[in-house]
Amino acid sequence: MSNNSSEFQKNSEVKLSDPNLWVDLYGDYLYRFARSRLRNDTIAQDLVQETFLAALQHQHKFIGNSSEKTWLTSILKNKVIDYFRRVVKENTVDPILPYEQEQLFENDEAEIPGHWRSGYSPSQWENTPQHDLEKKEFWEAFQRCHEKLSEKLAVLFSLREFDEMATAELCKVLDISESNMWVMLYRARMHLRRCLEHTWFGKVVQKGK
Amino acid sequence: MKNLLVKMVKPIKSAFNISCQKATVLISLRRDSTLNLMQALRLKLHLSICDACTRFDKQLTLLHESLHFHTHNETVSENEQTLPEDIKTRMKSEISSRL
Repeated sequence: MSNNSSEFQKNSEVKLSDPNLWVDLYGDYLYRFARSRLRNDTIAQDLVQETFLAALQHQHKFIGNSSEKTWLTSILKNKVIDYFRRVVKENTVDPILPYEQEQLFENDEAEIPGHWRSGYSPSQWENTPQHDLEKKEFWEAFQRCHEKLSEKLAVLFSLREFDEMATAELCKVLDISESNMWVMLYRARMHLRRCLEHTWFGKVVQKGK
Repeated sequence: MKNLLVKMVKPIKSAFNISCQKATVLISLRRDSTLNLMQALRLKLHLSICDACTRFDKQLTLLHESLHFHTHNETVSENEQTLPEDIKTRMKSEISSRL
């Protein structure tokens, strides 16, 4: 009990910094957060702007049980989800992805149907990114593959894999069925894995030869 | 006798047998949901004999880990995209006009 009250006192002392400083303190961080999920500079900038304005309006709601940065990030995350919800609603047609045109598995007439076709089975990934530079290059390669996803799949994949959002919550906020979500995540993963195998893991293997 | 044994084992084997295609579906599903007992057994059996699907499984994990790390670790992404200066100026004036 006494612990709780001292905790409360500590929290109530936490104040937000001067909003004039927010852009310099958190602007780039929030922008990167939005940009990595959104793939579009302008929309990411707009959402960051909206985040600052919403934070201004709701300053009194900041109770200091998280850092200022975490608080702003959570506002931004909700803005991103709102945007995603619109995207999912508006994109009812789902185009076929470039890597989905490949036939990865043997067809029904084959000796072992559903088996990986030769030349298409997952290869050994030797060069997993280790150093910062490699990680940066890997991220860029990933982004190029991510950009080939339909916006709907990209959105879903980001929330699930970057943010580890619970699947029940995902279905709820995006208003999709569970089985629909599983199919979409499967498609996104199949595409991204194959695309990275081609453009990143395959590339460096060739270099080594 | 041997034939009888083969005849008995075959249906049991095929009940557990899944294709690689089906295995990839279960591997993906496992990341988002809990497999039922039958699915889990089939997948486990399949992975115990299939190197390609085992690699597939590891690759999805690797992908998840590196992406989650990247999007939550600031030091890695420090030298990446920043807000353009004109946008920052616009934001600042928007904020100060509302103070």
